[in-house]
Amino acid sequence: MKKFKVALTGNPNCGKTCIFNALTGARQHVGNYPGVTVESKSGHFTLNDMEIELIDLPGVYSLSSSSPEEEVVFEELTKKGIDLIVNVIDSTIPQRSLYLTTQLAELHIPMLLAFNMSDDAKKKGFDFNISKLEKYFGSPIVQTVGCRAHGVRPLLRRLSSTLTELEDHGVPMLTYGQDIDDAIEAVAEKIEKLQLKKYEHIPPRFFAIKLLEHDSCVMKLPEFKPVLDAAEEEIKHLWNKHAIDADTFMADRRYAMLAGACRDTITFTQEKRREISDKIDVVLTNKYLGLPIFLAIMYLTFWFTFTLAEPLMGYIEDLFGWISDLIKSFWAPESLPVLRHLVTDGIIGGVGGVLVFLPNILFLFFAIAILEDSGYMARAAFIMDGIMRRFKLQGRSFVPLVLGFGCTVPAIMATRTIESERDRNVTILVLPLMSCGARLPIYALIIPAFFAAKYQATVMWIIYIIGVVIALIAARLLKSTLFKGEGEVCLMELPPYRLPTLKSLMLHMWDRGRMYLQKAGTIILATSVILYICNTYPQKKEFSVNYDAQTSQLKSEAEKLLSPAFFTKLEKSKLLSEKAKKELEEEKILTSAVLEELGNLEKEKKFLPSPAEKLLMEKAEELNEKITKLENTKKAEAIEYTVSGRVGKFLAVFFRPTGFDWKICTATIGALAAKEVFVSQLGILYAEGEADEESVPLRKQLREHYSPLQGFCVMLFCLLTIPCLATIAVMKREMNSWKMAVSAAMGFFLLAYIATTIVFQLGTILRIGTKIAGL
Amino acid sequence: MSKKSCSCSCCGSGKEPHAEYTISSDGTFSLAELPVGAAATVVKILPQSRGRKKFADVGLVPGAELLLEAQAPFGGLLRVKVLDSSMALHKGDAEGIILKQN
Repeated sequence: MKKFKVALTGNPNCGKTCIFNALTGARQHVGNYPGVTVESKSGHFTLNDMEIELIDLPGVYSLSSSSPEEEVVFEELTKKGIDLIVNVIDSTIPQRSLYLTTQLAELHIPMLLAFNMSDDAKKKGFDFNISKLEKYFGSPIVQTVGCRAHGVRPLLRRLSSTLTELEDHGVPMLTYGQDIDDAIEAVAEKIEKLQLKKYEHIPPRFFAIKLLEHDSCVMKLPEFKPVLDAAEEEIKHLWNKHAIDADTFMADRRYAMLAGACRDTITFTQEKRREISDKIDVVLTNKYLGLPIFLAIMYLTFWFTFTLAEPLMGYIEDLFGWISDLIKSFWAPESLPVLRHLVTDGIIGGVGGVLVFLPNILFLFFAIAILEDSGYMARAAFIMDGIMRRFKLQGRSFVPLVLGFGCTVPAIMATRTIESERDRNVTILVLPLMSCGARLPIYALIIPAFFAAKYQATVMWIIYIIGVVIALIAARLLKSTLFKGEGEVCLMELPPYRLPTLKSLMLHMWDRGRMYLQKAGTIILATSVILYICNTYPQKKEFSVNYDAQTSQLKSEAEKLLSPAFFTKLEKSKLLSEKAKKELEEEKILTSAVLEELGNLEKEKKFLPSPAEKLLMEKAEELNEKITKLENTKKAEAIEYTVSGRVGKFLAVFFRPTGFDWKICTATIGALAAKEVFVSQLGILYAEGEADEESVPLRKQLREHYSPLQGFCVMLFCLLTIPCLATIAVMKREMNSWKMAVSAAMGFFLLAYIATTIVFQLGTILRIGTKIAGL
Repeated sequence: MSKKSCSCSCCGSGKEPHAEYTISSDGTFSLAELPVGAAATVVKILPQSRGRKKFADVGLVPGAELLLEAQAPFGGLLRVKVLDSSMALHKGDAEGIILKQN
């Protein structure tokens, strides 16, 4: 089987990734904003006995290395071994798209032009004279409709014929005019003499043009150092003699050539009408309406995420409860009790507690995918640029910052579209302050525990806003201290609006949701196990009081309390549910679950106890409470003896100014690995002995132990510390510096500690939130 | 382009006219001075201006027609239609792009 290497190039947002997916069957996600692909990705497929490696290169307007994307493309294309370039053209804007083609042609690598979005171009009234165009560019042309699989069939057919014959369509000789061509020739001759082995497959003319254009990528290559002076000489000559500024003159000539070519080969079959996209933009990017509309869209996004995902969370919770029960039912408590406990409580409790929030995360990513794929994200960057600039960031930083509300890890990766390294690093450094999805469980636990329903949304809003405000202030500070300097030139395309396809949205959502799942399967699983061990060992064997004896004494009292007559009455009656009945028969006492059911029945007037029975029930309840209290005290004593308890107690001294007790300390420390752990850890610390099903909900426990102020401080602390270990890892990767990543993490910790201390101390002095209001 | 009060839609209630135009003797002015909704032709890009190569690459070359579509809120970004696509660039950078009326 013959092997071929094919590179896919084109402008940003021209549908390359769509074609890549259609050809390779891969599932890269496709966004409708420039710069979705920053790295090159490759995929394989076979075609008529040929094995083809397809490389999806980032979208660029030119090969002039004025952005990181262009540098990647330059590097890939000048490597040896590329058999064919497939240049994707957005045929709705042929002139702009073909500009890149004029430069690609100079590489003298066989090329196939795919005129993509040909359906849109037709609607727009474009009519192409394909055979004439083919002659102009010396390359075969096919018309495609990228996002539908059948749209690329003609491309496949043509690809196969082009690769087998590698037909020569003649070299497109783009001339830049006599004066410049002379200069090119002179430099090219010098390059020829260098006998560069590395670039022998590319004509010297290509490099000569790049050198005359002051292309930084070529100029910094050591191979071309000997000819730099000669090139500079020619540039000076052009300027002095012909007043030609070589920097932009090449672009000028290329566009002039294209204007001629397009006049020759493209006809309009209808008057150009004002497009719908532009009409939408009159409203959406309006100077006055733009910002309010943007804020409303953001609000809708969050509403969508939180309100619609809520019911699904219940199902997932039930699912994990069911799995845990299932394991408990076939794994006898006697065999490997430690492992059984670890699996049901540690792992399922920990990982399950995190996966409950998967619907939230997926919904948020779905909403963001709609914004991205429709093209609104680029408008958002346009609208926000003015504000971002006040904080010395740019509009492009904005999209990653919004993604940060979902998950910091993909958001940090999205900063690659920011050209300026300084801006990119600052954006990465402040990104963890955008409240990510992993912190959501913490808010979802704490806010309803301490705040009345009417304040809940506001508190949540405040938390998010605090993160945003601190991030912006921090960005400003960083930009005026550590990352001083002039910003890059900003040039951003606003692509036409497109209706996103459901498939693309799902793909997008899944792509990012998967990371959350991976995290649950790795970091969170590991921390759950570690924390479980810390929470359990060393086990306390001797307690200050003999709790077990006291408990069994109370239990026997309760047993005596339940008269045989009442017992039989309850057993025989059809009032109680199966579960309660079973409990009654096993325990032989009126458990709190049974009492609760009876209480409800009494309210509904289905069960009318005699005065004696009523008294009996009241006494049973009293006893039950005593038992619970005893069990809790025992549990507390046991957990204080464990590693968690000891570490927590030690840290509690340090955390006293922030209002954290040792339990919260252990939870927040665990949460440094991944924020989601906070909830499960607190759940374990407040879990009630064996009575899993009937344990008082965590929120009630929190209400009993903490004030709203403390609750708020916990949220604040979690907001300001790094979201998870994966964030540090990805920060290191993107900034290429452990030092920066680790010092950022420590900086956040310090910031969180100081801010929380200030809030707690001020709140205590001013008596704000020290009591629960409105609940 | 004259110094008359502005007729574009962006000024809304006619609060104040656009910034003063500095029109050189040959009738050219910079992109930063073009009112919203107006079209013009590029004459040249000043040699000392930043990002000129980048602008040239997307078609902002002498002879190109452009249309100022909108201005972002809080100033700064301009939205320019050139070669049938919308590009956003900064007002400061737009000062180096010299235009003449069609």
